[in-house]
Amino acid sequence: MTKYKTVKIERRGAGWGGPMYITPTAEKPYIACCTGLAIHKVAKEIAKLTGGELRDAFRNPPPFEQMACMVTDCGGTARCEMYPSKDVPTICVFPISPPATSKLGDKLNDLLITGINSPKCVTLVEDNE
Amino acid sequence: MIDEIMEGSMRILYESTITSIGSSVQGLLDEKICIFFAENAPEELKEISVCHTHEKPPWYNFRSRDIIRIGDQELEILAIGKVAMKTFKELGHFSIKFRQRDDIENMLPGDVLVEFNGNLSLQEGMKIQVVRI
Repeated sequence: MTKYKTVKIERRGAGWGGPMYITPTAEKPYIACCTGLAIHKVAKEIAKLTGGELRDAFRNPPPFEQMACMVTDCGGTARCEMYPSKDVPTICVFPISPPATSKLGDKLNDLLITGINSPKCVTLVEDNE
Repeated sequence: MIDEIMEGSMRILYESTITSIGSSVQGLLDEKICIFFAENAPEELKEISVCHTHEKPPWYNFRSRDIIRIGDQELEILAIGKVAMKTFKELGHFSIKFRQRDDIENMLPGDVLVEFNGNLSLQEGMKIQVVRI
C-alpha cells in the first residue's frame, strides 16, 4: 500500500491565502490539474513529493471526492469558485484575489491558495515518527 | 447597404458554435457573468458554462473594441484580462463580465469586460464570432 506524504504549499510572492497542507489518502489519491494544455509543474511537484497520482482534470477528471487537491490556472471566476465549492483544496497558479462577491466566504480560507506558480512553493513536511 | 459595407471590411478572428448551456448559466447571467468553455470540458464545468465547439484557436489576440457576436447579439469588448487569451486558446474558456457589474479597475485577470445592454439570449446551435471592424 502506498504511503503518502504531506506537503506544505505557501506563497513566495503575490497571491492570496495559505499556507495549505496536502496529504493524499487511499480515498483521495489524485493530484488533479486543470491548467490548459499541459500539466503544471506545481502539480507535478506535489505529486512527486506526496506520492499522489497526477490526473488531467480537464480531459480525464477524477470524481471530486477522490481529489487530494486541484491545481488550476483560473483567472478568477470559474474554477477558483467551483472546485472549493465542492470541498476540493484548490491551488491557483495566478496571484488572484477571490472576488469579493464570492458566495463561499470563509470557506475559501481553508480551500483556496493563489499565486503558487513555482515548484519551490511546495515543500515536503517531514513526519516525526 | 451599410450592412454590406461593414461586412466587407470586417475581419473574423474566431468562430465556433454553442453546443450546450449549463444549468447554472441563467443564474450567472442574472449576476452579469457568462462563462464559456470548450465542449470537451468536464461535467462540473459544463454545469456553469456555455460550451462551444472551439475547433481552432484564434489567429490573433482579441483586443478592446473587437466584437463578440452571439447569434445576432453584439457584445463590444472593453478590456481583456492578462490571462484571458491564454485560457481561451487552450480551453476555449472566457469569463465574460458585463459592464454594469464590474468596472475595469476591479477586473480579475481572466475576465473579459464587455458592453451589452439587454438580456443575452443563448441557444444551442447559435454561432459565436469574434470580429474586428
